[in-house]
Amino acid sequence: MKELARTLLVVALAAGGLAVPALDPPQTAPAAAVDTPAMAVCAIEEGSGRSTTVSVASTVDGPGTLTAFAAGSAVGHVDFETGEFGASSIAIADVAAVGVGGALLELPVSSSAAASVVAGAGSLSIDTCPTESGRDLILGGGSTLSDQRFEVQLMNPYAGEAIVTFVVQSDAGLESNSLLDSVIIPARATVLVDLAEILPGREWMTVAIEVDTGGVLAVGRLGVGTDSAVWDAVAPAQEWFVPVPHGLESRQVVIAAGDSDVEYQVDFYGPDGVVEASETGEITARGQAVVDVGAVTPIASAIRVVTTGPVGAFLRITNATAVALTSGSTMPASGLLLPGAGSIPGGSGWITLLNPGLEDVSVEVTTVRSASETLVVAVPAGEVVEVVVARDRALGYTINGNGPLVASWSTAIGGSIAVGLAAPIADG
Amino acid sequence: MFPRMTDGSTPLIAEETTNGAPPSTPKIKVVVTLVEGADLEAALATVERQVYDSVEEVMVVGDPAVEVPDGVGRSLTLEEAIASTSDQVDYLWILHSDARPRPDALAALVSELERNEASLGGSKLLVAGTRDELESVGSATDVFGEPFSGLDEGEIDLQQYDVVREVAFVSSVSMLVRRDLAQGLQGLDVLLEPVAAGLDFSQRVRLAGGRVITVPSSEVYHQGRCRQAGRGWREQAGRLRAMLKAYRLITLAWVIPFLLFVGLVYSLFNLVLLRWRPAARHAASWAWNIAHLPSTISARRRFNPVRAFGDEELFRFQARGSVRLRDLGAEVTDRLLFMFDDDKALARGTRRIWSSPGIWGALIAAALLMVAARSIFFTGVPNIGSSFAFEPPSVALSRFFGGWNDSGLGSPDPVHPSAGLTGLISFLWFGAEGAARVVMTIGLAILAVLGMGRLAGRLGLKGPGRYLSGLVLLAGPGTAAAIGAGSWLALGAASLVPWAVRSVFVHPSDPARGKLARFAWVIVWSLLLAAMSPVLVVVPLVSGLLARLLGDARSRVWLAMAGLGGVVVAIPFVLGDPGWVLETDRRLGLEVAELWPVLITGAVLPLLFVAEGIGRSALVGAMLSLSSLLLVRVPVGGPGIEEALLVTASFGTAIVVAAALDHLSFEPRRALAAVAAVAVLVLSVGSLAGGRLGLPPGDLNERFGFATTLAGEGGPGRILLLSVDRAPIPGEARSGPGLWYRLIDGSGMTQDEVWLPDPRPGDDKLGEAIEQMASGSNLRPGETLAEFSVDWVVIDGPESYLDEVLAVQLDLVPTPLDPEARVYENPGALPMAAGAGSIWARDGAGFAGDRTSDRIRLSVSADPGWSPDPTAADWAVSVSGEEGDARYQPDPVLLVIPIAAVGLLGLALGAIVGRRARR
Repeated sequence: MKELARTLLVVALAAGGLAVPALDPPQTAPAAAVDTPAMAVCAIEEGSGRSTTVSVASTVDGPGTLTAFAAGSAVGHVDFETGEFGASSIAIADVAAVGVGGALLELPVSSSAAASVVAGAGSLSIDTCPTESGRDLILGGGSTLSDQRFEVQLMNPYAGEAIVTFVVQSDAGLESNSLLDSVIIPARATVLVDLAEILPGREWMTVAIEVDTGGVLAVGRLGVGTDSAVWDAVAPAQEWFVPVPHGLESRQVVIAAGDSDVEYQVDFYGPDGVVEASETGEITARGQAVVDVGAVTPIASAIRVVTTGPVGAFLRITNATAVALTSGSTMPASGLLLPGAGSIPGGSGWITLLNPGLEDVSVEVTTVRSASETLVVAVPAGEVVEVVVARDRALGYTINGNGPLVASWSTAIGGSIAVGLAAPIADG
Repeated sequence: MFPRMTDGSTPLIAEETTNGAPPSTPKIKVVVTLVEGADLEAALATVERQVYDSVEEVMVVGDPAVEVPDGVGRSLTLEEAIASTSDQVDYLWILHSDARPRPDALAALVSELERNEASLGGSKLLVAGTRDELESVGSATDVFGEPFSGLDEGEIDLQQYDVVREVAFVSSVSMLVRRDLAQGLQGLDVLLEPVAAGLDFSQRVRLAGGRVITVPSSEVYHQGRCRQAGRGWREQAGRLRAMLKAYRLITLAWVIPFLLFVGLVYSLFNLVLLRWRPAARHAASWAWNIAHLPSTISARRRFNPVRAFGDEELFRFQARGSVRLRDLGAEVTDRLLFMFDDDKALARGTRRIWSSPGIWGALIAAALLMVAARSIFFTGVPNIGSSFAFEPPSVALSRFFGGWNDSGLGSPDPVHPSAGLTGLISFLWFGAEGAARVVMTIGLAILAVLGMGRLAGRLGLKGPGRYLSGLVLLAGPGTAAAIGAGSWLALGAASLVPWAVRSVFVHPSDPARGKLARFAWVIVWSLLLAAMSPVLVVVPLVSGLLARLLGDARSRVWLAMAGLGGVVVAIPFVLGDPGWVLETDRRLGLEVAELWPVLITGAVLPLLFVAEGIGRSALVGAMLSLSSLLLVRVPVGGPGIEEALLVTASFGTAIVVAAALDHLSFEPRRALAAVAAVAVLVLSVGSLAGGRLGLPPGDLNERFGFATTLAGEGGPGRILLLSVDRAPIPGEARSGPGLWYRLIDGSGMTQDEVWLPDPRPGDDKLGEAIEQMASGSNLRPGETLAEFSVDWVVIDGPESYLDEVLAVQLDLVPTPLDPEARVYENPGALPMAAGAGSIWARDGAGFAGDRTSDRIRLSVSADPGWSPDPTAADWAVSVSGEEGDARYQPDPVLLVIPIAAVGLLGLALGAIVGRRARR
């Protein structure tokens, strides 16, 4: 009897040990969403008759700093305030003489944006400065035909070096060149990769930048004649919105595919409203498709690109002597910032507004300057409206609507043209 | 007295002179020296019965108050007695009054001295009241005068030494000496105790040209009262005096330093064994000789004219080396053997060694242990998990006694009580904390095996499993998990548990003796156990109660209850951080494989149906292990509970294995139990295969040595270690957004830093900074971390969003200093202690630097205990720089408990030492 009781006791304890589930391993606190720091990195250029003005627009009156960096160190630094108008303009010439370099902007809040406007004789470019690095970036719209200078500017404002690998596909096929492998960008430095020299004579090329180590921001620089364009490399996505300003120049949207074959559909926002699936097709991995918007209409329009895999979409405006490029937008927003818009003295300018939503949107377009003006326009659902930039010089524009919008700013002065995308206002 | 056989060595004169001595028979004077408590009349009667007739005179030397029979002379001193001896007398027979010579003893002495032309002869001494137990047959000495009889303790006289031979000295209990020589040498030294006096006299006789022999045919029973009355240190002092008198100066020049060294070693060894008397005797003998140095010098001078030979004459009869060191070596050997061989198999003889059931199990366990610890012998103890270097003893002890807790950003909360123990061990190991750690770790492992063996023995288990079960204790179901996660304290606690449990069980053959000493042992073991793992102090009580409930009369509940007193050493720590016992989310969440309960059950169930004792022990073990394995899965209690349950699980399993392997046979139930136990053993040994006693590999301090190498003027600051996995973070960790983190000392993490004290404002602020950094919203995390003196940020473990976040910031410089972790330097970090124009460095548990009129900001949590002149500087503290030194002054109230714990330990050890001394 005693043995039986003891046996039952042992068995019960053992069974209990097996039946009770083990404790979960210790858990951390929930991971916080990764925020984008309030920063932007602008490609800057001083010398050769060109100078850069960096414009900042913000929803708040707050302090910021601009640090010009090159060759591993900060070469110039300036503090600024966005002031009561929420904008500021900094001439890089007053900060540092850097040649081609980068400028890190630490912005007052996340709901800020910066743009660099590089102007010279017969040359103008606008770039809404990228705000975050990505593991994989894609850059389309470049060419290295004899009259075009195509460079990729890699900017690393961070404390650690970055290493990237280029995967370039062109009309000649998948390119192979050791100069494109493991490109090191030291901390606080920019590196220019001259694709025109490495891979000359390519009619088109899709450049994928794979970041192996560190963080890097990249822009493309394309020179045609005396003019040049600067545009951002972007993280690939499956939906893009590209506002296309009016004009008689060649206006094409380049869809650059990522590392897989994709099918795409183009919805066209033209004078007849939205035309869904106006164009469809398939792009092989690393290949590109070109939507020739200019061939369809000379008036302001827009397209939406939807794909089955990640791609980048870029607007390329060219004529015989000028070139302008910008990336598309993946994020329609009701609030947009157009830093630097209207800052070109004597130039004409347009703001192209796309309402990709299903509802009409009432939009306030406000000039950021001491005597700001607000223009209220209505943008019907699925339509594009163009607003002429005021002739008086401004620090930028803010756009606030009651529905989702995508906007760009374009300008022309002399023989030069430039286009830049509006930055959506982030929370914060 | 018992009848004895006689043999051919029976003296010739005794046979020839039964009816009277011929005219040439040497004349004898008998000098009986009084010994306190001895029966003088009986002594004189034995003299009277001597068959030797030429006794001219009998004289008693000593206390004049003692009456002597008529016809017996009196003298106050031996010297006087010798001096007054007539020239007609040929020999003096010096005899103690507690000696009882056989009737032919004197005749034998005279005969052999005459025949061998010797000057001094000693009788064979037998212990009175025994069956001819030998006390002395003349002795050799070593060069230090230490007697070496060559007799074993309790050796019986079978005439095995009955050869007349020259010896170094003979005892003064019964010696026959030529009268002329005795007068020339002025007799025995009155200041010396009997043995020393004999030695002294023998040496002088020999140097004067006489021969000293032992005469085994002269048998004297010795009551030993002179030894009882004599004090041990006086004998020792006498030997030293004899040496000082006899040796030439050139001999003394090297002998004395050697003697000092031998005395020191011998004293220290005995102190380790809690025997203080040898050291005291050593000191007293030197003091006595210094006090008597003038008379020693006089005696040397008096002896010099008589000296005929050099010291070489003495060396001829001396044993090589030191008798004391030889005894010490023998004792060490005996003790080591006894650890594994308490049934004395080795002592019984090598041919029967293997008949001892425990021996081969012990040898296998020892061999496996050596293999299991091989890496520690060569590369030291890993610095990883919760196993880190000891602090210097002074620092560790200062922290134990209420000092600053330097873990994290620092805190006045008490440190883990093990800091006191590691500090003490390091102190005892001559302050070499690194070596002390290795020795302690190996020692703990040995202690675990020995402890299980001894506990099992106390439980009545004698089989091969008793020592092998020690391996299960070290690497059983719980300890494998805990030690495998790097818990050095689990190793230490596991090693002490069997000893603590054993102390509450009494030996069945010794149930009533030494209650105080038993209490003392219980207190000592429970204090040590609580210092390692406070919660484990309940295990002896639980074990004792279980055994008692199951009918084991050996357990003593009152002893087990006393064991709870050991927790006093851990009270400050537990009260300072109750979450260590209570907060489940601080557990490591270590998992024990489900195979273990199955195997344990398989081992114990068959034993429940065999012999009661084995079954009961196995059941106690099974209940401990299985209930621990069950409870460890219940979400109640913090890491302290988890650690204790895991160790208890292994402890219980070890008892089961010891019981299951107690008696190997093909009887089905025993065989089944043995098979399951062997499976448990094999599984356990497997986890020891790494060679680090189950500790994980790696050395975090070595990996992060760059923090010291590249440190600035103020020395290394702190390292912020981050990981999305818990495992790479050593010791306790704090939870952040999707990550674990903790601060570690840039100069290398130490054992006291394993536990993080309760968060203080600085910790909260650090948490916010880390949250901000991890969110990616902070472009300059280095600037934010600078105030915490974070020189380095290290991300260990798998790559994660943290890597992406830190790849895109501006002031933490990635530096490839570690092949596994991602290391970021923070160039802007503030020094640990700095003012406007000066930087201080760590100095022990505080900081020190140049004196300055500036205030010095210490990058530690604010507390008014810092001095001088502390003021809070946000979460940190600043002190006046005028003294060039910043120290933490503990609250006197917090000192009470550590002092009480140490006092308790001291009392317990005192009781044990006292008992040993009485032995």
